[in-house]
Amino acid sequence: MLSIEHGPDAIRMTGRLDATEAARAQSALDTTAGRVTLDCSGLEYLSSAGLGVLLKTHKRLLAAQGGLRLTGVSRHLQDILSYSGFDQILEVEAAR
Amino acid sequence: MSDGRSFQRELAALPEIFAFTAAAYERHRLAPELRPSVDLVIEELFTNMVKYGAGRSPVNISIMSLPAGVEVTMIEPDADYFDVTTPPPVDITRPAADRQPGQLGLHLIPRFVDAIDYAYSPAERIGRITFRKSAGAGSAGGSTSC
Repeated sequence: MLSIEHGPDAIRMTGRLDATEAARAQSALDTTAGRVTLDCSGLEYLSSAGLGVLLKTHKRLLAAQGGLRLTGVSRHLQDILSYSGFDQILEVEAAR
Repeated sequence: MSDGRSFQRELAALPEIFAFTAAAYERHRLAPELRPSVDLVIEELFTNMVKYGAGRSPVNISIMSLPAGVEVTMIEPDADYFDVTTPPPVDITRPAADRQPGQLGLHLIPRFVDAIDYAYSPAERIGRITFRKSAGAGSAGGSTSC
């Protein structure tokens, strides 16, 4: 289950971003523009379907001189981002 | 000790699969830190079967407790041969504009298991994937065999 909250400074995703939640996450991120911060501090799980959502969003934002920034990224999510090369594409800030 | 169950070959089965793994982890008191990696590998393998598999028969998933970890076996009936341990290479150094999300799932799998095996029975048209993950092992550096 994935919860998505639109805050004033960031979009916060909580729960699991898997293949069954990817379309809903994509719809939420499709409404964003500019430099977008995604608070991942409550994101427990991310699969390649979720990576696809992040990539599609980042490419769309990049095309308009924006981009996607991830904050509060757990060790496990950092591993996934690193092994997929996404840590070189996205701005990633680890959880404290 | 092991748990096993069959799941309809559709993405909508994923929540049931995750509930199944959660219950197995609790029942067998498996190291909870293994579950995100195990769920990730199961999801990537299962979605690959759903998207690209020719058959419609349910996929069986079993989870067995090991002394220091877990072994998962996924059995795909009505399967064509496809060795998931040797996926096409993915260039993860390309810039964002040139990147496509496809094939990342199979690329990630070896990074999150200690070992993964693929076996195929042409006579029965059954594919069998077994992977192991142990507590304390790093995410990377799995071995593969076929």
